[in-house]
Amino acid sequence: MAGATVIEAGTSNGVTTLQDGSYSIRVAPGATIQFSFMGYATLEYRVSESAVTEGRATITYNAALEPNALAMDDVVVIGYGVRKRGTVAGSVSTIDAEALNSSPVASFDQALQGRATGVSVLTGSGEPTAVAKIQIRGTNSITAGTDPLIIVDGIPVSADYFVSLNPNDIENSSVLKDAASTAIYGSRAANGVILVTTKRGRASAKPTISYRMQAGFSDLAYGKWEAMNTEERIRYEQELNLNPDFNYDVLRKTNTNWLKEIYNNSAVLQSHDLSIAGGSNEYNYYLSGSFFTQDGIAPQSDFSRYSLRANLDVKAAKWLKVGMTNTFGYESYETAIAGEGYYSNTPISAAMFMLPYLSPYREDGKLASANDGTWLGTGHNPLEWVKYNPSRAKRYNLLSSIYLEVNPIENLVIRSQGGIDYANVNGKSSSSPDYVLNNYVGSVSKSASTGFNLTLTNTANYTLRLDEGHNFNFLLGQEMIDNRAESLGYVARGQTNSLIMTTSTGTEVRSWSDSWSSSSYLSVFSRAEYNYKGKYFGEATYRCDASSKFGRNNRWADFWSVGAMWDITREDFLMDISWIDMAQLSSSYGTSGNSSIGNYVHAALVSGGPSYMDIAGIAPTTRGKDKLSWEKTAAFNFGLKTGFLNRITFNAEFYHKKTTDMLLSVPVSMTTGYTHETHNVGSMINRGVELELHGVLLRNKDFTWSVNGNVSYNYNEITSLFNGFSKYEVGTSGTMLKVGRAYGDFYMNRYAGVNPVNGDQLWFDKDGNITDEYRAEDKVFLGKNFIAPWQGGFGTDFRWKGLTFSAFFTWVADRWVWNNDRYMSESNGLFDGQNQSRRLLDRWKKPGDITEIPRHGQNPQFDDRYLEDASFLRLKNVTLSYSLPQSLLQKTKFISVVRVFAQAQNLWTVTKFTGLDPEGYANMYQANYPMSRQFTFGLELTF
Amino acid sequence: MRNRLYIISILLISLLSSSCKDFLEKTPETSIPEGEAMTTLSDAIQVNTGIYSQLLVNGLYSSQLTILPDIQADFILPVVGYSNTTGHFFRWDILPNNTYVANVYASLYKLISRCNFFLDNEDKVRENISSKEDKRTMDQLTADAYFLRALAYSELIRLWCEDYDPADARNQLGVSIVTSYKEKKTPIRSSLFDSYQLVRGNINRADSLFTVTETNNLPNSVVGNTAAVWSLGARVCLYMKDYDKAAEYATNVIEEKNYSLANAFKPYATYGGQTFSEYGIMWLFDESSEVIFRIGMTENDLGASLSTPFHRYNYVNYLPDYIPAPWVYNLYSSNDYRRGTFFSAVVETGYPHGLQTRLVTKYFTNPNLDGNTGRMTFCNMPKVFRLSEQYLIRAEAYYNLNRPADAMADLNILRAERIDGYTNQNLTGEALFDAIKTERIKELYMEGFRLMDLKRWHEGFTRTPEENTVAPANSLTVDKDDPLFTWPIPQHEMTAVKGMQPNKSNT
Repeated sequence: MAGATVIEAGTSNGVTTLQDGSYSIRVAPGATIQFSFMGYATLEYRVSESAVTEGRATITYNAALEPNALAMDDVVVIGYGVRKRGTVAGSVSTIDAEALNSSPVASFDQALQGRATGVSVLTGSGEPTAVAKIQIRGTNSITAGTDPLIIVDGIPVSADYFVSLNPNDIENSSVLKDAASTAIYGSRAANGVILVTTKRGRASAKPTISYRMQAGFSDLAYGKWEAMNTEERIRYEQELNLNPDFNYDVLRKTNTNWLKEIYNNSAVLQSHDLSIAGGSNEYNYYLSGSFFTQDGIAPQSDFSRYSLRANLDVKAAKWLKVGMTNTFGYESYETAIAGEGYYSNTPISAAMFMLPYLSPYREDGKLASANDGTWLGTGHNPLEWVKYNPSRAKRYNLLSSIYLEVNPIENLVIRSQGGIDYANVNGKSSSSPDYVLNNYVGSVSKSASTGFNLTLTNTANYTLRLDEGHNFNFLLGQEMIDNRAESLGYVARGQTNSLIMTTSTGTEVRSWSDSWSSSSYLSVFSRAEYNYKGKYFGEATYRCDASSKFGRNNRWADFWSVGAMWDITREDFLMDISWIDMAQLSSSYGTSGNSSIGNYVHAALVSGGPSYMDIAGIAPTTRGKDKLSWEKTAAFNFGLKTGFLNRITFNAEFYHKKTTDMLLSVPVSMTTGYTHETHNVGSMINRGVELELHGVLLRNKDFTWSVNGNVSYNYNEITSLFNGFSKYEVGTSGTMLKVGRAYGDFYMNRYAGVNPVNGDQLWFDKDGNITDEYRAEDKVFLGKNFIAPWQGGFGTDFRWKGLTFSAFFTWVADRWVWNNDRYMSESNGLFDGQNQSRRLLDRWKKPGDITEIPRHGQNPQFDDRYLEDASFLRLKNVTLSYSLPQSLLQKTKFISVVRVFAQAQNLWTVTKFTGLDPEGYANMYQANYPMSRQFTFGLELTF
Repeated sequence: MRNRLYIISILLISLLSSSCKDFLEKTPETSIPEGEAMTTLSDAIQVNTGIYSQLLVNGLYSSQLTILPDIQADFILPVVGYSNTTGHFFRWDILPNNTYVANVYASLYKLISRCNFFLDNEDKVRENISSKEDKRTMDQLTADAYFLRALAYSELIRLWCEDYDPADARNQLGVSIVTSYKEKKTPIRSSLFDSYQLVRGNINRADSLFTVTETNNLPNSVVGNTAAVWSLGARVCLYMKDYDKAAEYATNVIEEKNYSLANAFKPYATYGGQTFSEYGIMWLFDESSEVIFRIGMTENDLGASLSTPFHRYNYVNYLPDYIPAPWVYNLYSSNDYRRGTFFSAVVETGYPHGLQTRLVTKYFTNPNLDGNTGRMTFCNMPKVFRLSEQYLIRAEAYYNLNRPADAMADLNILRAERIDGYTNQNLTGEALFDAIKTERIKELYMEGFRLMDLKRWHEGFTRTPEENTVAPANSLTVDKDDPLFTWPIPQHEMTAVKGMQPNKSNT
């Protein structure tokens, strides 16, 4: 390697390697020589004193530098640093970047599902812009948020940022799970931390140009559909004599499957990525540009993203390194309306309600319209409504940081980093004046919101190596974060031309709003690490945080952790056992915090906004709680890592966490003028086991077959609540908080079927006796929860020469959800005007009928009849790829990689759930946007 | 170079630490700390406006508080295919965790808490004012707070307490009484006697603080005044069976010279090519000589919509959730012009079954509230107190005071303004009481009185089903002692307040 620095430690005696990589330096016996090069780890060599018996000696030492941390699979990114894999006491999962790079989804978080133990990744919507709900090691908080802290290149970002991030730019992603690894982030790390590092160029590397493209289509991933068809609907109506005047002979001619009308089974997607990376001795660079576009499977749902990245590092002087990380992204998207509103005009919910003997199209193939009366249904033709009521948002975001790294004395690195995360979202939705159901009145609703987050971090890191194998690493740091959010919105009306729908083409502004909010954090932190001969590792962390979210006297809080690891493999007694590759025991204990509450919850405030008769007034809006402080989670972790026969690795971890002083939104008497206030009360535990196995079943020159799998189990229990209460029913969620039970446990009446004599519904009362009365007091815990305690993933890889096949499954087990769609579609008469489930044809009709469906006219209740098992097993990804052999490519002299691949995402789903898709994280299933399945073909070229 | 860097670092760090204090102090742009919020008269006026703005929320007069009790009663029937948003009330299937019950309860207490906040800070403002005029303004504002607090507590009592029994009121359950915003303790329910005493005490306070001038006690007021306080007094006393006092309050209002009953059949004004009576105009434009206190609305300060459940008009079709029960329509004689004002002609709905029905048009939409653009806000200003109710209160009071002739006289006065060609009747005894009860239905239909009236009169009912209305509740029979005449205390409140006493309907 040319241009590497070779220096005698602690002196200015140094040389640079020559063109052929050779060097020559004169030092005294016993001196230490350091070999360093940008982008590579510094290596040390101690010139032996004994090798020199007298005078001069010439020693040849060939130093082989290894590329630096971030560029290697062999490292783990931790808080404010990187460590070699296998030298970390904390619990850290790293995720294979390759699995993320080529996933055919906009947001890489969805590709995390099932990949890391203890990390639950569930998406509640098939919208291309949907961001997954990530929860690490159970539910740590009830009302202060369970989202992990997400840090991209040292800058904390919100989960929304994942949609902006080009997955191909990701070099490395780690999940920090236990206190030893999270405590360094203190105040906001109680829910775990996800660290994402983007790619950087390598020093002294010739430019590498990569191009990757992918194209394909999406359709419904599962799509169970129970709506009646025309024949069934007519039978139903006739049985009940719902519409005696209808001419069914005419209606029979139309049989619309609304599922097919609403959902697109060939929604296109494509992506193109181009990157160039390289470097010299003084600098390295990584530049990339990408384009991604995906149509959703529902109408009014699409996503396009353009992103640019420039990551640059410059060695400005021997003691100074500077660099920057920049991304700019632009996204344009439409999001379909789904969910609890059950609107009859928006396609996703309307699909369920539309009658099968109505067609959205006229005979000539055009949309049936309410304007000319060709739409025969009640209210809106959902496909027409979408056309006349479009909505689109544009997001501009910038994540930019610069750093300065000073090396004033040997082994001390002082680093300052300043970063800005900025995003601006402009939304516009309009109602066309050409549509009768808009009352022929045009309106445009516009909104703009800006988020700005400034982070300044200063750290000093000192490494100390003493003789006899004592190694120390000290970190001292300080950080400040300033968050600001602004928004503005208004509605302008009166436009008459649907082609020019803007504010200025309207005649009046009807409603308006704006908001401004900010919060800040100030922190100091430190970490001390020690290891003895790479055998015994110990570390301690301390962080002190203050947040503007708390009152002046309760603003500061301390977080700390200790951790230890014993690498048994390094012990003499294991050295000889060749079939054991690895054996490590680790344990840690510590605390971290959570402050995800409103910015001004602690303050007693009177606010503007209320007005009467066009006069602005003020009114008290919060009573405040000056004593409010951090929610704390203390965690214990025990881990075992093993490797055998150079083929099998098995890891197991156990954890126990206790969250106390929960920032709980406590119900307060409504006589106060409020319904809930945030208090520091209550506690909860999470306990779990995580197992991970990787095995190579076959391995020879051309062929490798490996399997991998992981299982996580989490046990959650509320250990105390508030005001001395041991239970609290959470509104109409069907769940109850109770000491001794898990958060999210369903608490409702038990359905006992249908009385064969009269067709009435029956329930079990709380003692298990059968009753025909639905009473609040008969609710019981069902032992079912909407948060899955079990989850995991497993997969297999085959490699034969350039051909690779991989399949990966994910699963969650014992997750339950209340299917509200069935309340609507199996309503026994409550919603007869809308299409119903064909299951109603099997309802009780005459004495003696044995069925689960009560007679017509029995109103559905909020009982466990609609509580369903939403556990699922999903073939998350199947990829087949072929890389052209190097022998062939070398002849071209400029192409180094040619890879073609085909993949399917969410290919196959197994579940008992009867809705459109089992995946989700909520307690209720309410006209959800179902998940989609992708089939893509891709090409990758590297020059 | 290195030294310079150190110096810069030290400077930076010291700069950071000096700005620490401010850096961590964040205040929102739209709020002020509680302690500084109300110290001047101008502040007091703003807080007063804040109290009134609470009257616009959907839990109160412009929606739920007004229509839910009548949906629960025997006035309407839901149509097959309806949205079911308030179906629990119609079906008498109201559980303690019902979100509407909680919302009405919370909205009323929020109104009370804003009044309490004003009254807590009243003295602070009075210290800063000296002129007579300012003091009088402050008196008016203070009277408003007492008036609206009394009104809110009276509504709580109406919905969540059983019918007042003068002999046993000290043992009957009332409501939780909170009279200070700062109050940290959350009280359990007082007796019904104490609850009504609080209401009457506040009525008296408001009465003494409101000054009667040329410019108040005028019709169509959007803020409190003496006449509104008396009207509340009359209603409360009727519910307390204090008939003397009820008649006295009602007489005060009736004798107030600025108010008169709006005639329902004489041509008064034209709008959109149609001729309207004053009474008809009142239900369109929310104004007439008989409106004592209404919730004010403007194009920008709208409340919720009273009409939506009765029309759900989508600019092509009507998809009413609820249609009028025919028996109510049939109560009116053909020359009773309320009938044509409250109910539409038969229209075809947009439902697949194409039901042909009359609609409730009492609150169709006030054209002024959409700037006369035809855009339709479906909003009308709720008229909390009207003169006609005072006549009905006095008639019922007189009847109970055994003054049938006076009661009949009031009834005749009211009917003469509603029925074209009405000739005075002379009823006594049970027939007179029935006539008063029927007149309340006819006059106050869908204004939120029916459930309370049935509770007071200890009457149940049986609904008569109509084609294409939702079974089986369209034929429901409700016993006069059904516990749901009194709404359950919200589950939320049962949880949040230790020792909170439930209603019978809570179980």
